Amino acid sequence: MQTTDAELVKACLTGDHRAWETIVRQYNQRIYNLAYRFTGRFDEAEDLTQEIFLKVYRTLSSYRPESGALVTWMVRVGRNHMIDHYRKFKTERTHTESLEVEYDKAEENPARYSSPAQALEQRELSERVHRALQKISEDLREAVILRDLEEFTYEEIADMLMLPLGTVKSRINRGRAELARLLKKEG
Amino acid sequence: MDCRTVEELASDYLEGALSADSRQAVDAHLPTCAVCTELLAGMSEVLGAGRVFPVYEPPPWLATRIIANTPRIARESWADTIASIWKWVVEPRMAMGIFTATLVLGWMGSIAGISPNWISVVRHPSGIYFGAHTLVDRAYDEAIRKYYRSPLVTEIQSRIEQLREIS
Repeated sequence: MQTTDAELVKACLTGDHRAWETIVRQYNQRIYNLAYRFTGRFDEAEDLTQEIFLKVYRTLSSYRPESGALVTWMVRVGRNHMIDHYRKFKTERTHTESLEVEYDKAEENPARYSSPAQALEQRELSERVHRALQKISEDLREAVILRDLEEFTYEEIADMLMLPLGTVKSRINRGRAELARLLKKEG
Repeated sequence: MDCRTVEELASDYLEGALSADSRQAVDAHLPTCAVCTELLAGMSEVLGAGRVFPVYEPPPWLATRIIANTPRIARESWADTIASIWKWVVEPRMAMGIFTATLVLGWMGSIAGISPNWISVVRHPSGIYFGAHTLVDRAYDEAIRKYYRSPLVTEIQSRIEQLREIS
């Protein structure tokens, strides 16, 4: 029988460390990828994933199962943490310089490709989109990442970002348009 | 439909969320505008890239590191809560507030004629209840006395007596 999010959280709050272990193992890939998509760096994504999980653990009692899935709440906590992180280290960021190294490292990480030719094509396209993502504003980037990469619904994103649905839709649309223009410029 | 409107509706168009009328209007605009056609093609490419974006496996040690670094007891226990309340009470500002409030209440009590005998209160805490009981009894008696002595009540009583005599 599979344990629900609510049961896991409840067990965790009563001090059951195994429940916490289950949560970490179940969602660490999702949070790691989210962090990587936001930062564009694997080393930073590793540290951020740990920080986000510790923050989740500290604030676990504020999770309300009736207000949505645990992963949605965790992404919201993660997103807030990453924004704080961005503000603190804005001047130290050198994403574009490190992307090549990062993508070489990505080779070591088995991404989900169906054939070598497709893998190459997809890698090139995602590399271009990833580069472009780092160039658009923070507001538009997070909206596009949550929708197109993390595949959350518009309603979930509005809830996560605590913004009206119309604003979320508009940001995603503007983000996609800016990305399209950047991809075209890059040729 | 102008280019600006087409751009605003682009995501809904690509996700098939437009009404039939709006979709027709966009479809009618696109063959006449190379800029919008190119924009929509680019946005479609972005949407496609999102779908095939690689999902990376986190390093195998990451989950273990997170679990190992999670403090076993990070949440507040009852003892912590009481300790935090106590800390709040003994804070200089709070302590000063409690002291001032006690002083003011004592002063007001002495004006109202209430002066508890602290030594007897400490020796016999039940005295608080009996003391309060006596105080309430006394207040009730006083109220009844004042009621029967009030001119209005006296007047009404005398009128009733007069009426009885007449009848």
